[in-house]
Amino acid sequence: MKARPSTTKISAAPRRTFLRVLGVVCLAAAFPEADLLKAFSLNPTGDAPVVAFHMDQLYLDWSGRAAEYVPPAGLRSAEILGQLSETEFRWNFTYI
Amino acid sequence: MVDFSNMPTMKGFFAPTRFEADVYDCEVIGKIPSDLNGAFVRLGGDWLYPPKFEDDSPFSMDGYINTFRFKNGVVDYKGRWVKTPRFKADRVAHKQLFGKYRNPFTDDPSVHGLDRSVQNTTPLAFAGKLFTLKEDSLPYEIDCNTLETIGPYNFHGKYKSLTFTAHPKVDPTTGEMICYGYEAEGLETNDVFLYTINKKGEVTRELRFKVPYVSMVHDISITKNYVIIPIFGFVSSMERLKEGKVHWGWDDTKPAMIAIVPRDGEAKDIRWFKGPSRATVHTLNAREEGNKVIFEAPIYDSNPFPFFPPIDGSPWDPTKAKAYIRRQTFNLNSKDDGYTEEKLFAMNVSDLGRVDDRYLTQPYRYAFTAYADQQRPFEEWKAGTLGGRVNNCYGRFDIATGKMSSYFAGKTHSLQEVCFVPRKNGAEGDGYIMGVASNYAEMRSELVITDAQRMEEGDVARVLLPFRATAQVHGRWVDESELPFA
Repeated sequence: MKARPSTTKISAAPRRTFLRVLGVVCLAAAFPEADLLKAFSLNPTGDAPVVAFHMDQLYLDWSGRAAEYVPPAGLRSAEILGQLSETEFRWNFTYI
Repeated sequence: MVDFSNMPTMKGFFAPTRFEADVYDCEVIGKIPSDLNGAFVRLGGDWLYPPKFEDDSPFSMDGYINTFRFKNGVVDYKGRWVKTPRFKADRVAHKQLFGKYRNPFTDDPSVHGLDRSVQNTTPLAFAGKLFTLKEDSLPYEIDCNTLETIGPYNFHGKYKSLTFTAHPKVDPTTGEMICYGYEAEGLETNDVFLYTINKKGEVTRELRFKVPYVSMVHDISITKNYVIIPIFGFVSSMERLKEGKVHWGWDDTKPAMIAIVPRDGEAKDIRWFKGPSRATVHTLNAREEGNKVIFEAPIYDSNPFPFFPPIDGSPWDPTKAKAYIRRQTFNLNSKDDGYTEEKLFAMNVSDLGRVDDRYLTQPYRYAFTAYADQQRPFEEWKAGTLGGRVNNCYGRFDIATGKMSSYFAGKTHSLQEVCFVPRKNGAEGDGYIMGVASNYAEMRSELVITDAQRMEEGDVARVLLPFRATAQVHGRWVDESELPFA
């Protein structure tokens, strides 16, 4: 049996979404005081998204209302080393 | 009130620990080799109280001694402060009374004349006794079973220097200890007292001589007939101390000066050799070949310590603070004071290197030290974004062939100083590599043990502590025949 050549059906949905977003962005640029981006976003409260934790999985909560994930004590415990200048590092951690 | 919150580097894994600890029958992954009986003794520092001055050197931390005691396949851990007069005075005052590193002019007047030493550098087992060493004072004797501090020790009154090196050398062929004190007659004196102490702990020889300038004399090497004593660009003066500065500053105009001292000679027999500015903080080994003395060490291009800053006010240069394993050759037949130098390995390494101590003074083949291998995996999401600031490997460097083999500690680990433990009656390099790894993901210290001849195979055993052990400066394996262990 001969395979039929594949065809790709292009949905109109992405184009509609694009035009909708473009419209909002243009309006937001024209009337910044209206804060239209917030009104049309998934996060109407304006809270910053947070990294949260549920069912052993990290996820990004766009609403900003979930409890923020705080790693257990000890995880990334040497982070300070990467934040120091070479002088600060060698001053404080000569023989780590 | 104790408050470390204004010390930004003292957090996470590096927050002060401050407690004393006993852990019986430690958790072990793998199997402790049955021929390891004795103790891995570590000495380092921690702040009991925050330093009096923010810009003080970490070399002023209070001494903390700890042991991993190996007996019949099980390991106990014990950690204790070294209870010096300084430690006790601070505890009474509930604060740090002592000022900058080796500068008594910066102390609280109430502690004038008190021993300022913190005893935080090297453990030593010799003549049946356990000691802590710090180069600004006498050794302190420690009870090897309780780790309680007994007090300063002067070898039955025969050791006259006011100071004692953190790096004495024991000659494996005679059992004698070659040791010394610099600034031997007091602060800023240019005297060195060099001693031979027999294996019973009796001083058998003293040689007094002067150095060209007051400088740090941190480590030496010995051959059958000579002592090699490097001094380098750290300088000090009484004026400097009275100005309230830390003891050492770096003078880049000072040449490296190396004394070749005959072990049975007099001060007039010392040969001083001169070379370009270098910093030889720690040594590996030395030997004689005819009339040449061959000396090998991880040597820095320049000042490795930013807390001992350049005296000309220029900024400390981290690009020159890299140590390479180098060989320096001194021709004793030569009339001039120069020497040759070669770099044995292209990679820079931790300067806390070790050899098989049974081969001190003799031709040898292997050197061991920690290094950073950036090609190895590192799990930053667990350990932190360190920017490559991790010693994740121990290397065995074959001085004869230039080849190297390595041990990798793990994806969230950084290794402290390496220690080589010889297998009884084994050839050179036959034994174990041992050292403490900081596990940054689990916030705990782990004593790693690997076979020194099969390092690539990984752990033979790993001893887990349920906490962070105080950082080590130096550690030593002490066989159970060396001390009266219970």
